[in-house]
Amino acid sequence: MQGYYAEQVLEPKVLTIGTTAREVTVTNTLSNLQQLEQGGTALPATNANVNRLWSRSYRVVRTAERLIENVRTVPFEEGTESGILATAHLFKAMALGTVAQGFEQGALTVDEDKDVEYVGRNEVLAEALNQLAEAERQINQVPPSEEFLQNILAPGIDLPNTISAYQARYNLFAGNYSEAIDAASAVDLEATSLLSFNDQTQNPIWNFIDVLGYYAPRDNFGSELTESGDQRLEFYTSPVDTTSDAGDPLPFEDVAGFADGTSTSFPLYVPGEMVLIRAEAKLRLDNFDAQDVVSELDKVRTKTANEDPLGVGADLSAYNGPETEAALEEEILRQRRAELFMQGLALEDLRRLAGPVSNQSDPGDFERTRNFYPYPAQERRNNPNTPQDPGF
Amino acid sequence: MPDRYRRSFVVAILAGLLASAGGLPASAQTAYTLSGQVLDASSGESLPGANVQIVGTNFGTATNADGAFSFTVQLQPGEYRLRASFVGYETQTRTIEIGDEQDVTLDPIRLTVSAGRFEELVVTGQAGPTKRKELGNSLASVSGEDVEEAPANSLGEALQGKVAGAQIQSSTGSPGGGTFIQLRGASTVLGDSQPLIIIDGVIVNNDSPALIDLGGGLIGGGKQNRLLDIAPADIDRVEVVKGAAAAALYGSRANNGVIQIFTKEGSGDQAQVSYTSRFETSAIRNTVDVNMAQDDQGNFLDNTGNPLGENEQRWDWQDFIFRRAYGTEQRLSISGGNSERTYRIAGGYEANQGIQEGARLSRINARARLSQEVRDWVTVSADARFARTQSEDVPDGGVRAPYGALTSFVFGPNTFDPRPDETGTFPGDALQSNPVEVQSQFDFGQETNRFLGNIQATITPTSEFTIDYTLGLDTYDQVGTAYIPPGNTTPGRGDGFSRRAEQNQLQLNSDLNLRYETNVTPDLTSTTVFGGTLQYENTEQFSAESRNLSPIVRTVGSGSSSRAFGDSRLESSLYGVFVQQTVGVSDQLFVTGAARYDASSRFGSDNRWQFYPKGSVAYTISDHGFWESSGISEIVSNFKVRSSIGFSGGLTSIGPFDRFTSYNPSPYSGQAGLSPPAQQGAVGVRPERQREIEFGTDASFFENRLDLSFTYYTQRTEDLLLSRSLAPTSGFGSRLDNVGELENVGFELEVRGIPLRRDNFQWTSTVTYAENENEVRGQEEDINTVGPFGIVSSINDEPLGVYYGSAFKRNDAGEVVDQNGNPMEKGDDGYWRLKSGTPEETGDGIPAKAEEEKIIGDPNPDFTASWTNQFQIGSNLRFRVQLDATVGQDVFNFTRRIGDVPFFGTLEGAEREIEGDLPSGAGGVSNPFTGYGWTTLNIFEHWVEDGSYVKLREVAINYSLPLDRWQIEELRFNLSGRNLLSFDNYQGWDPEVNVTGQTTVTRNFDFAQVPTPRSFSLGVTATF
Repeated sequence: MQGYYAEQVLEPKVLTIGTTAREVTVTNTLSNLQQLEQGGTALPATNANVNRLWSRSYRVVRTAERLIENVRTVPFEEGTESGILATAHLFKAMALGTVAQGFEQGALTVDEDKDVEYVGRNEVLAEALNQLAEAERQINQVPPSEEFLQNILAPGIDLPNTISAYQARYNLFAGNYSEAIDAASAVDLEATSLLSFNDQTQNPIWNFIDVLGYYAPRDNFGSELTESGDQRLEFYTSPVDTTSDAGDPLPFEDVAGFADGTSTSFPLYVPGEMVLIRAEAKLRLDNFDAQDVVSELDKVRTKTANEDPLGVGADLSAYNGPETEAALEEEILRQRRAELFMQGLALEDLRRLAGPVSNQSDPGDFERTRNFYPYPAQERRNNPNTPQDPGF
Repeated sequence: MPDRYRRSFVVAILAGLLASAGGLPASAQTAYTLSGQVLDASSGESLPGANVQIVGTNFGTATNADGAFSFTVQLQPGEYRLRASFVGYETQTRTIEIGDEQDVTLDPIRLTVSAGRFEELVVTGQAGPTKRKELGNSLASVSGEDVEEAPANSLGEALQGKVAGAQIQSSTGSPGGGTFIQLRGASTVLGDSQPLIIIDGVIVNNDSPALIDLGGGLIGGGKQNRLLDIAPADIDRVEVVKGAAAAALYGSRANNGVIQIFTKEGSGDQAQVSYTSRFETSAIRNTVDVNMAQDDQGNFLDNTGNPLGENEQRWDWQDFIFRRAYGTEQRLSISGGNSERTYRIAGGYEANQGIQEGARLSRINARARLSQEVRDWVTVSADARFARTQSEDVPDGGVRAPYGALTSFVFGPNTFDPRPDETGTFPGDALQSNPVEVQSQFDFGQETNRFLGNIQATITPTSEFTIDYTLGLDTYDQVGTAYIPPGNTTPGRGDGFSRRAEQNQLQLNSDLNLRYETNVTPDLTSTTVFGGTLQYENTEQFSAESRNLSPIVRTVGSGSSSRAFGDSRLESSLYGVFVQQTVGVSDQLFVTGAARYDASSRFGSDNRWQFYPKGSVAYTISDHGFWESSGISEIVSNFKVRSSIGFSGGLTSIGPFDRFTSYNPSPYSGQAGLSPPAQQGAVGVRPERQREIEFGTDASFFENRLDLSFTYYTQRTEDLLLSRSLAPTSGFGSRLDNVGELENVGFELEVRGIPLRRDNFQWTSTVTYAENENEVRGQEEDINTVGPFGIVSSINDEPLGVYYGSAFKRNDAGEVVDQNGNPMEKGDDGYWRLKSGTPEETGDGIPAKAEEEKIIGDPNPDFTASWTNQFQIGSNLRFRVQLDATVGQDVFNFTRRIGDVPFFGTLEGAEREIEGDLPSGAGGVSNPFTGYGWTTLNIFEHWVEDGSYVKLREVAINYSLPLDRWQIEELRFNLSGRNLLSFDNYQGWDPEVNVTGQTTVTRNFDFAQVPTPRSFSLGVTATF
């Protein structure tokens, strides 16, 4: 399940969502990729990339559910059982969270015997949070055993911090701001949690960009907000003077950062996200304290690569813009766009922070090409409960 | 259950066997030895291999090389009828009397040539040797002589055009290339639709394992099918039964028909040695026109219309890819024996170059067969056959891998000389490999060592009762290796690549048949057969590969990255029992009924045992007295009607473990792990069930000068197995399911005649013609994409495998229109041009694409036909011509689709666009993305072509020189040509091609495959 998530889910999560959110551009003439790049009504329900995002997430949900149902039938030692259960709940939460970021509605569970029902994405997020709470309860009740940590948990994954980080992430998306602040503060910012790759299990993002040549990261994170001198540009990309000739001509760079090579590890979250979650949640609180928000933002703005356990550092000057809600919102988006580049979060961020798309029939080069994806045709064909596709 | 069942079954059979053996006949009989000779009535030549039998008994034999026979019988003195028969001759029956003399020498029996085959003995689908007139189903047979007239390099090649209703198609022209065989259309989608192949009682594996990527991923047409291991030279006779009618004896594996091959046996009393030496040469029949774009000053142009640099030119890379190929074959056989024992030992070595540089095939065959009469009533024979096939392959045809030689030719551009410079460095363009480098530096090859063996026992405790037992074994080890040296021009493989993969295959069949023949009354005969079969199959594959190789070392261990291995192990068994009863009335009416139970371990216990009944009737009307008395017989010598119905099922059409949800091992980050499959198990899935009904007639005319066989059939497969999609929220992607049905309806006609029969001249002529219509029905979704190219589809109410995709835009009158709506028409060269006028506006003369996709082609032929003429001049000279036609099938010309785009720019279409003959669109010649080629690249209909062809398949001259010198009995010279001409309108190398090899659904896909060459062969056979 961990390997399947790393090999199969990460790619559509980062690259499909990344294309729609304009972080990457398509550099290949394959029709499914061209459809994705165009978005809007040109993106049909039959698109393979959208199907992958949906199907693979639910494959993880199924595997997690099978583990949760059956782990007690195997006589593991207590700490091994709690570790497996916590991991299964965490991955189910991550899969449901991925669905909620791409689709307006989703199912809370899989069922191979009958057609599943749909609920709104807020309920999907709420279920993801329930799963995270259960994961947390498991490891708090019985600490994971050595056997689990050595032989079962994938090396690189930090279970407690990841659970807290995803609680922070999904609480923010769900609008539970004080819970988001608490969870973000519970994360140890010096710790990392990584999906590791090697020659056998190769970094899929690197593979799709560098080997297959399907996508490339755009200049300036594909955003008009990006400040010049932002050191994260150098971290995430390496400059080349090239423009894609497939479809819309958009200038792009070579990939670096967490997709630098076959064996580059990919983080489940970056520490800076926790700080930005706190900033945004604080801004959303009644009678927000602008100073407090700015001080959180400055932690990210002034951080150098050396100060970050993963080497993500903007090294910018402190924030000196206006301290209105709108200006701070824009600053948060600017920082999220850079700090969380190509991590599958950008579509959610644009929906939340960037305002409506100017012209849905022809979005600008820096605007998302869809709000939510159409439900895959394969799902609709086989499940009569599939809701109507969103218009955009 | 199976094991226990198996054991008790065997015990029961053995018990029965012993019990009947105990009841041996009383011995009021005397042993006689009958001897004589069988000769051709017109030429007086001896007829080796003719059948001689005492009617109504099992006593009989075949004539030896001198046409002589001698056999022992256990009979009471009295009058008997002796029947002599030989393929292609009128059977003769004469009455003989045996009395006191124990050695009976008979006068020579002279047989007349005949086109009629009523008396021909056949065995396929029957309990034992049976006359054709008794058959309720059609049966095609090909004699060894027909195969020998024009030597072939593979069995598939040898049978092309010789069986009505058999579609036999080469996938590529490379010497180890595969051959696809299909009888009466496809009856399955998931399974193999090729017929069951039986050689001397052994079920022979004809898989096409894809061990190395020879193009198109592991689906490429370069795949060998394992029938390749069998040298065609040893064939004595081939029998083909096309449908479920055969199933009672062979069970569900005969779902797609049976091709049974009998190889030569020893005969006669004197050892005979035969040695054949053959020399062969072949070359490409026609090359395609390549892009040689030039401006008015004669300067070569690049793909954007600019003159190439100084000393640069466009090249026809075909000059460096194809060559004249040579090959040889040497065969030696020794056979002989006496009335108790016969033996045959034969061996051969063949080596053939391919017409593509770097391709080669060699094959060693050795075989020993011994037959021993242990007692008067027990004959045991054993056969051991070893084959070693070795090929040097060139990867071609890949649409995924960038390293196919012909693929690189197609993608071009042909603007540089691909040969290495003085330092040995190959020039490259970073798009694709350099084909010359692929051919000369890449090392791809396959090696197969195979053993086929059988032991057979025939026990005749009484003259009425026969027990046949066959134990057959077929096992091979096929190894494929691929090596791409580091430092080559191939993008993505520049650091080198090494792979080794092997398949170990083992198949066993154990068959026991008990037959009881009796005359209930003089006019009523009864034949009862009871039999059982056990079959076991084990397939194991192992592969390892790596990249980033160290220099020199070619093994997988040399690679430092992307190391990967694959390991798959599959086994399955199949059991069957059957009983078959035939009743014959007055030697005119034969009624057969049979019931069979089959079980396959591939299906769940609820669906494992399947019941397959069959019934047939054959009625020879011409045997009635009125036939002769009314005078009809003077025109219609024999007339028979027949009909049969049979059920069968695809018990092997899914994989051994496909019914389970199988997790895949997927270690992650150094830890063990399993990953969930996309395919959900389907324990309740049922085998496909086929019902075939056929009606036919066999007739001969003008004293057997003309013989006609006609069969109409309908074949319906129900519970068609397809992979159906599931809602991803089930946690799965797909599941096998019984959905829909597939129907084949068609007819077959075979006419053989002797237009001229003189003392020293004889002309025989054979015509075959077959039509088949295939239709898919009842699928949940009307349109399912089933092939690997997104356009090969299975559509309700349409033939399987039709092409569905982007089409031309048409106006109300149905005419193809250009971008501005002007009507267009297709020229003889395959390009569309304005119906009137010349292009003026931008977009004129460039076809427009329709908004809706539709069916744009059908790879199934309307009919297949062949016409063979043979002339016998004197007794020593024979001349033979065979024409084959396959008409009405479409071919998807992917080769031209790519090569005609100026962006790649290798073929003629690109030249026309660069030179301005075809419009280059808004961007002009300098922009390759706006013109005719780029636009039509995405109108698939443009690239679907009529693939109809008539081929001059075989021309052969045989001259036999009788010699009595140097201990040589006869010298036979053979000069033959194969695939000499093709009459077609296809804009490519050869319409007889398929990039996916021997796959059922994806047919006629042309992408960068070596065409079938034109070849000549000169051989001499000496008999001592």
